[in-house]
Amino acid sequence: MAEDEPGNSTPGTQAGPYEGPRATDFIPEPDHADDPGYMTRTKFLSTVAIVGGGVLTAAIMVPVVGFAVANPLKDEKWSWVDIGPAGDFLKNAPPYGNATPSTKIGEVASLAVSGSSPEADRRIYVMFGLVDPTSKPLPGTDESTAAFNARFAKWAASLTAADMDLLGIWNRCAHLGCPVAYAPGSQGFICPCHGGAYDSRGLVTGGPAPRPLDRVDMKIVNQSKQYTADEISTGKDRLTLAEAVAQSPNPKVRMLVGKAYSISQAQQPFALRGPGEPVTGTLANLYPFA
Amino acid sequence: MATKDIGPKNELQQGAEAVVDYVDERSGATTGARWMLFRNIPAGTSWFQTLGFTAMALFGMQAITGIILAMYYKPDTTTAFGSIAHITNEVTWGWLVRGMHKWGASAMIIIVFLHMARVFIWGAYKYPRELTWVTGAMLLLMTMMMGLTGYLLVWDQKAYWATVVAVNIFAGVPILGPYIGDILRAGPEFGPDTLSRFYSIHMLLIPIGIATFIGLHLYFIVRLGISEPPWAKRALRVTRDEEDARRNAARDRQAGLKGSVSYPPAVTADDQAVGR
Repeated sequence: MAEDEPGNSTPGTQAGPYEGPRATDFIPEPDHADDPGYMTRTKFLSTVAIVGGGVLTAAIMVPVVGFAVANPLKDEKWSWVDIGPAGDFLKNAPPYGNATPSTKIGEVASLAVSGSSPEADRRIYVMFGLVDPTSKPLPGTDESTAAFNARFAKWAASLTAADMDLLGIWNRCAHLGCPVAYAPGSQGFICPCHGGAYDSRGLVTGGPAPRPLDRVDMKIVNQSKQYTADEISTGKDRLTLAEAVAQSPNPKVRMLVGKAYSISQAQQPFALRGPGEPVTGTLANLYPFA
Repeated sequence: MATKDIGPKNELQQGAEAVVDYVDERSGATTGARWMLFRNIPAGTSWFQTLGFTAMALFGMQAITGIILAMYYKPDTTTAFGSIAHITNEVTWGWLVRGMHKWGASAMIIIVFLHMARVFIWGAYKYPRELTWVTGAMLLLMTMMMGLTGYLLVWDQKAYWATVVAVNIFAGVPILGPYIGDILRAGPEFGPDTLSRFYSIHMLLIPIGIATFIGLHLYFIVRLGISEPPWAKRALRVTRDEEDARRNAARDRQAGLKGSVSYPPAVTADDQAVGR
């Protein structure tokens, strides 16, 4: 660089000594290529792209996956379902139904009960615990209403506390969920899929099922009476079977189906389990959140 | 034969080549196709190695017939069975397309299992083809899920209860099983949501997954080549030890170039002393 060119003179020579940096100075750029701990521009931008992209993807995917997955996991809402006048069921009950004379418990009806979705094919069998049917007259087809009612009253009076079973048995097989059917000949339930067999109380008598058939809570109420919510929650609105039989000509006496629950082979109640899940024994621990 | 290459080509051929050249120049399609298709294969490669392509061709047939069936099928509990009866009995060649889809599904399961058996018996899943096997296993699972979800769509009693049982088998998985069951059936019970959910899984979710994994599977096959039969006289296979040694050496050489690792000279004084 020529010293005598105008405008190119060394600064220090004109107005006193200048100690600062000069444009011509070579300031070495630090080279961090070999320093793995140094945040280069590329590294920084890569991190921003990955983190930012991840956050945006999550913002999209969380609601989408939740939409697909979370809703089915909601707890099922149970409510009492009115399935008809109690008399419709009681008059078909043994000894007035088709049960064989030795039957203690007999099938009455299978009912379609809508669950959370109207297509759901949930059916229950309403079973009655009964006194010895041989002591009871069979229904005459030409029986008058008054005669029928009188016979009901007589039957009701003969019932004892031990006979007061009213069972709602869900027809979902406890093995893999096929629909069981009541076989009157064997007085039990048979599953068509894999040969699960249950007695008339739904207890396992054979086949692969790990627990008995599930039950649904049932009650008979007289809807001409008003009950407070407190009385309903304590079960004061429930008619005993004897009361129900006595009042059953009244169409306001209704049979209601409620929440389903599982039972053990000893008929101890458990929270409802899915098919295939045992409620007792070591294997019951396989489903801790169910 | 050779004389035909002399002189001007006919215009049709020129035009076709121009089109191919245009695409290839911009996409490398010819190179890619050659990379994909014109590979060396080991001696002893036989019809057994065509099972994988057969499975892929069946998937293609299922995709095409499925797309056509979706034009007539109505995924609703009140109309599903009726629409299938309509396809089978009234739509022109509907019986054929539905039959292709139905029997093609069974054929695909059979062929996929035969393909897996071939790979297993040949030992072709071994190093370095483990990931080919893993992606293939994912494809097997997805193919089975296609069978499960497609079976329900007919929405007759057999479809309904068979799928109830199958979903309850899923629900029997320990710990998370009950959740899987609820997610699959869109709630505690089979219903309209289950049918539309299965339809969506059957025609969108799993096909996308299968197509993706077929792509990965093919990439691995092309990259790694077809393995020779276990009875091959000339073994092409590289053992994992050899390959690891080669990779380590290459990595060390790379590090050596940067000067951060010092290396002994290729030939040491000792080597020279003993005449190596």
